[in-house]
Amino acid sequence: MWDDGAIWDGARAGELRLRACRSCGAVCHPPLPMCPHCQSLDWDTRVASGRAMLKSWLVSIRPDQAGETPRIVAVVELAEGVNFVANLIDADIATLHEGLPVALCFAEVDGEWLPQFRIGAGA
Amino acid sequence: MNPGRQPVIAGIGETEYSRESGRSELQLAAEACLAALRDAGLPAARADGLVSYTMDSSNELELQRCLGIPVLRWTGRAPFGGVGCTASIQIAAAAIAAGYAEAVLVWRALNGRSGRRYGTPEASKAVGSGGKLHYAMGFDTGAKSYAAEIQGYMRRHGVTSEDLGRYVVAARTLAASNPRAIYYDKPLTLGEHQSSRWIVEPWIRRHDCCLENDGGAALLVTSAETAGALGKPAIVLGAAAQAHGIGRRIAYDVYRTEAEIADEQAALVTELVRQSGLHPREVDVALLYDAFSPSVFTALEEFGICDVGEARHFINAGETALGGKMPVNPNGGLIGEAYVHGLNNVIEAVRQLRGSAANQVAGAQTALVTGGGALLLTRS
Repeated sequence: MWDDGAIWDGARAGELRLRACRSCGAVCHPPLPMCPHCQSLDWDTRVASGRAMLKSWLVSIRPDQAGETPRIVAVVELAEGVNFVANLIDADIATLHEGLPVALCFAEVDGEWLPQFRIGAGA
Repeated sequence: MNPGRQPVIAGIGETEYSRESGRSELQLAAEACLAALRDAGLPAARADGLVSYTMDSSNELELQRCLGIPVLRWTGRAPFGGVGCTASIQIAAAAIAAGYAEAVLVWRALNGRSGRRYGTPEASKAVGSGGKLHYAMGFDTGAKSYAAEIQGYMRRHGVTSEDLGRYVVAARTLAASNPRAIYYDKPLTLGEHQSSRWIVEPWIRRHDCCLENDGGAALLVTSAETAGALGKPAIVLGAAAQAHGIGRRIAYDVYRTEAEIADEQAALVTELVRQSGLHPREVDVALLYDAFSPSVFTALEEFGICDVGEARHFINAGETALGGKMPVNPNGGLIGEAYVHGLNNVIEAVRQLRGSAANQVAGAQTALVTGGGALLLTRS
């Protein structure tokens, strides 16, 4: 299985499944095959709480798909302490600021279930 | 090191820069390499090394055949994109210092406009890391990646799109008087910058981006001993350094803190000083990698040319213009001259130190070149 397989399997099941090291406990994202802290190859899955904070954002226009509605790409810091890239849905770009609480949700885009976020403190 | 083995740059060569070269990338590479050999006065039969970027499409052995190099003794590729403009020179220099080769050509040639257009997701996928975790979210070009990386700096220090525009206008003014530049005789006003469309709203406008163009560039790296025998003054490679921190990614570098980036840059400066005894802020001219305009601002601060957060004031005060405290990118840089993955900026540094640049910094003796890593060049 590829190193990011759990992310896509998890998204279909409505969970954000992060890679956590069984040896030292560190969450590793984007997933690597070897733990960068202790070099362990033994991985566990940690389901993210879904709470996160907005760090950066931008409007993504795909030049090759001019008719498409632009998406907001956001870098969020998960409560688990790692950054994650996803889309921010139902948001107005003009109202965003660093540190804004955002909550995990899921959406199907181009036939693939993806982790997404919306503004709010979440569960 | 034996002083005779000191790496120097003895030749530079370029094709014209255009939107449509009308020939293969291999031909552009061969033309640029041949021009660098002729500039150095070295017969191709004496070249014995070829170094480029992993992203370059040309094949060393085909290029060797084109040029008529009888025995190729050294090859190497610098990883990723813009890092290659300094790392490829370092790879060539290492071979010279160690005696593995005597005359190494460093090249980069691309049809970045008429071929695989450089700013597209397809080109980005060849260099970026993270794969589907980014592309599935529509996070899929160099400009988007850079916008995510840089906006924290812009917010923190109040750098506005107009501040970026003032740098771009200055760069385009320099390009306008550089006959080699794509934007030769085509200056830009701040109003035109501000009305150009967003490439990545609300951070990067069209005119903040480097050019997408066709062209080839090459330099000949050899030893001080060999260059001396050629009877032409060579430019000395005072330092050539990389310093990648453990959290770094090439593109999509959004998983680490600004403090980690500052540590990485400090390590790079320390290494330049250790090798050369020269601090980058002491040079006479700086060629700062400008794939996007904000990178000039951060480089000015990271290399200690101005204080942290002060770059916009430094630029607005004209300190990066030809008569300023630190002239920056007198060729117009990658935004105004051409985008040959930064290798044209290394060539401009050589021209400045030879005293033969289109926009010459009077009496330039030392130059800084940045792009992933960094180089310090000095007149012999």
